[in-house]
Amino acid sequence: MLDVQNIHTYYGLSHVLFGVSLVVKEGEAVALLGRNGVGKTTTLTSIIGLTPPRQGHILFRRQSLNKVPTRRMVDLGICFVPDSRRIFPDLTVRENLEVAQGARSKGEWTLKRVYAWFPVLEKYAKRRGGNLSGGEQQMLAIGRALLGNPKLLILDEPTEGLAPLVVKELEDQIFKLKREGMSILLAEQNLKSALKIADRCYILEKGQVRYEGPAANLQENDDIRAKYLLV
Amino acid sequence: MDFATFASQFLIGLSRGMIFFIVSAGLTLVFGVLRVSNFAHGSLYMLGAFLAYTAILWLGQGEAGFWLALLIAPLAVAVIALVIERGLLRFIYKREHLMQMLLTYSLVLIFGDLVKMVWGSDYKSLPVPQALTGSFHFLEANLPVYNAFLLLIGPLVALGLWFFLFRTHLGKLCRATAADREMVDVLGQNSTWIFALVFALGGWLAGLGGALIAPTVNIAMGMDANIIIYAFLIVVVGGLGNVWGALISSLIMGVGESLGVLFIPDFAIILPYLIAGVLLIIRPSGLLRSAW
Repeated sequence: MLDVQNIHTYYGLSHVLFGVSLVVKEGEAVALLGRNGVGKTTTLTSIIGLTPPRQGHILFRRQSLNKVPTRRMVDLGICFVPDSRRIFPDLTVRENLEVAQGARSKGEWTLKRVYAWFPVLEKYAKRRGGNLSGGEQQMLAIGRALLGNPKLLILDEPTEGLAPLVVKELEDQIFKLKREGMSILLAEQNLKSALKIADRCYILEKGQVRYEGPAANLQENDDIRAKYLLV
Repeated sequence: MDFATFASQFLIGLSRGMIFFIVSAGLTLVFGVLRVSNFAHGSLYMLGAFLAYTAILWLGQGEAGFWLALLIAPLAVAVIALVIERGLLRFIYKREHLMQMLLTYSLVLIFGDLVKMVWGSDYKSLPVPQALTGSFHFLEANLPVYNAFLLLIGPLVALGLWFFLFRTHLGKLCRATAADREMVDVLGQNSTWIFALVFALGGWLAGLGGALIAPTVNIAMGMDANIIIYAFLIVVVGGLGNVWGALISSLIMGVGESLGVLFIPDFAIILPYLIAGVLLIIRPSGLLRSAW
């Protein structure tokens, strides 16, 4: 479904990704692991065109994404939830969702379905987005992305900085999305979270993929974990 | 001084404030969403007045002429604004603020010369339309009907803006774009068009202000500089990007200026700046919260 081939991405003069390749198959959940600053976020923003790669190719369902502007990604079926959530703070919860809904969206994800999925969003529909707790904001960010009717949902550290109970709830919801057949690519620092959701993992270090394999293997491989993940 | 003079001067000030609001609402919208301080906003206001003048020349000074001019002139200014945004501004959003200032300031000079070439440098004036001549009397106070008309239009524009920003999908997109343009794109919406739309709307408001003021002033070069200073003061005092802040500070400025003429005529000219200074000392970041 998604085929990232040997991409190099720069921020101005600094070279951040050194030939990252990865694949997400239809219906698969893939985790991108690695410590802070190894290029997880940049890989994701390269895919959706916020930091377009200078070299390499990105294909989505055999179509090249290289020259596609970010705003067209939703039409293609790729929705992105950034790590800082980026809720519009002065819009109400409902307005945050409405903005994502667009005039022409006629998919299976409706406001009603998002409310059913995250009841807390309906409860606080009239609150300012900026007044929600971190967990609620994350749910809003995911709900907002779902309204784009993604085929591939890209999540950047969805459980970062949240309380354990909230983390568990979000993991369950993301897993549920995967069970419904949605393809998911997520960046994670939290190995436990990633292993719960993902089928396969990639480990990044210094802008390169250092390990690739089924999530289950990683669980037993203490070497790899010590080398690339433990702080 | 009696109450009647005070009351009529107060109301006239309030009606001036309505014009200030219509113009500065456009400026603050553009600043809030595009993050561009548009010096040429005053030029668009001046163009609104001149275009209204020309429209009325063409349409005749009959009753319909004024109303049609009020419709056409702001729309024409909106189109000019759209051309400015698509043709020039969009190339400098990612550049430093100084570039934006240089560009919009150069537009001030260009439009200034253009107005001189097209309309000449002598004053133009427009009569107040028949239906809006005369004045109201109540409690011995005197208020020209045209000023009463402005007192009606101002709140209508405020209401229209509120409806647009808070009740329409497009308006919600504008507010979202003001907060985080990139995220609007990530959600699959077209922020490029929102920018164009907001700038055109800002131009429309400037043009409307110019067309509305036209029958009450000498239409002349220099209108742009006069209004832009006030508009910036109002926008800063009201809280950058905040339309309601602009409304409040517009009314304060309008009334302040008007009453200043009455009470301290010698200092009237500096009173609005004095008020702005005091308000900014009390609330350095503006009366209301910046942006939305």
